[in-house]
Amino acid sequence: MSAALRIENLYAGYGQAGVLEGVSISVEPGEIVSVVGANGAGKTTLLNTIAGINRPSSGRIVFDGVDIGHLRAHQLPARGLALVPEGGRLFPFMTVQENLEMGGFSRRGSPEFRTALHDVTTLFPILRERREQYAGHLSGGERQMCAIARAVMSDPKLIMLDEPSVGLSPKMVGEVFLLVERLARTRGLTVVLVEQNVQEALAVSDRAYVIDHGRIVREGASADLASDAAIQAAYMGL
Amino acid sequence: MSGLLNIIVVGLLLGGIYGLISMGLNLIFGVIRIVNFAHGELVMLGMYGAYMCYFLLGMDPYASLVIVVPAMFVFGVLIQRFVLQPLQGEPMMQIFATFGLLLIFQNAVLAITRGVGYTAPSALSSIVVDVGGIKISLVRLIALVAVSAAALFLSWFVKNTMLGKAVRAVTQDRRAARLMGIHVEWAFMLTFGAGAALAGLAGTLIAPIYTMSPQIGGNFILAAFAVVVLGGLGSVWGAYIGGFLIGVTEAVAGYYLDPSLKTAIWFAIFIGMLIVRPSGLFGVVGAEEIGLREQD
Repeated sequence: MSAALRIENLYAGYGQAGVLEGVSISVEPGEIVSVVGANGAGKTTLLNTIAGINRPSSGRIVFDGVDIGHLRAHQLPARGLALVPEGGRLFPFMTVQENLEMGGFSRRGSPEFRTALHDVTTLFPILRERREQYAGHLSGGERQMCAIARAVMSDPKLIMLDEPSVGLSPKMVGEVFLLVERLARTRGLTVVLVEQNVQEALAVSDRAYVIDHGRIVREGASADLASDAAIQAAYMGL
Repeated sequence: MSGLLNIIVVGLLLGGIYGLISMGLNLIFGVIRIVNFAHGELVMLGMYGAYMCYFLLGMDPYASLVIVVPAMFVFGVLIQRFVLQPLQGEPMMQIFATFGLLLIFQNAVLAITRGVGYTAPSALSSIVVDVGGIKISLVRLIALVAVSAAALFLSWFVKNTMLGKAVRAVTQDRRAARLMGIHVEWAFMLTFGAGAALAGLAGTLIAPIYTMSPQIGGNFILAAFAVVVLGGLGSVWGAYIGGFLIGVTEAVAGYYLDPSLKTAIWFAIFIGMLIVRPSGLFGVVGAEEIGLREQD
């Protein structure tokens, strides 16, 4: 069985400063994998490098059997890779509906485009109500939902979420994570979740990696890591 | 009374021309966030393009639209690709580059024409329409119709086509647009091409009205800056309505005060608007700040 995503010895950074110092991770199809760690550990850089926003300085990124390390961000949605950036980064002066349409930009004009719009609003009923509103007027939770729905519009095989819990109330965090889990289980979507909220991330994921100063320092089943005393002390404030 | 009405009509007709010139400038600023100092020179090149079509092919300026507008589109795409794109990420240098283009275009045309003033006569130039006792020059009326059509088309395009929506997405968040699969550099080339095509349209339509000189762009660009700030940065209807407001103000002030005050009046409006409402009359409040945010 080949991995959905395999990262081998990845180095990346800004200018001379290295942020990722030899990261290797592997994600199986249909898995939810979380990458947890402190602020500044390299989590966002990892996702941005996979998504083609940053260039890797060395190492390999193999997605769906193809090395995508040299591809640029706009080429990836058509291949089935989607990133939900931190804060959602919706288009604030476009309506919810227009934001969703942009999510499907890579397959515009295809017959699936219209049905995808319908499917997504069924999956996220709140977005149907807000359809004509500017995305900039949504609440934090709605914004995150809309950003995830927008990514789903491209019909991805793998979806990466950067800190989806940031700025949300605990109740909303629970709802967003439940939704991510349902997406993965019902659509067979592979999920890579990057989080500072370690407890929630471990609760929803199958496996997890702990990243620190640009290196993977621990990996294992999420349940095992969640009960690990060292992890609890370092990241969960227990 | 009919005197004032006459002045307002003159102002509206002038406003149509200002609106047409401002629309491309505003489009380029709104999407790419570059103040295109060479925009007046693109209008000037459009005028000389119409003259070339007349001189070489004997075409009426209105017929030469089918050559000048597509040619200017291609020219705009090339400028974006080979001059501005290599400077992407350095907005200051891009603005200096457009200023460099301004000087190059002016001097190249000056060298080629040796400063001789040309006009591109049209069969329609001498036709005057009588509307309720007010005489209106047909060529100016055509410019007014053209700016209305251009505004309608542009606002329809960005609201109703995927390509137009993608351009708006690029305007609002470049990185997020890339993540949607939108080729941002390509959107920029298209936008600069469209802005240059609008300048070409404006230049061709005013070719029968004004005597050409290599520096004529400067006469229009100052008005266009006032129009854009008044109407709203990046707003299609802002450029449209702003053009009329500036045109009418200029005509009224020119008649009752002094025509030589027109530049002072443009900039009084320009500065006053920036102080009172920086987003302009039709700009979305807060939208102007997007340009200040990190864009990558």
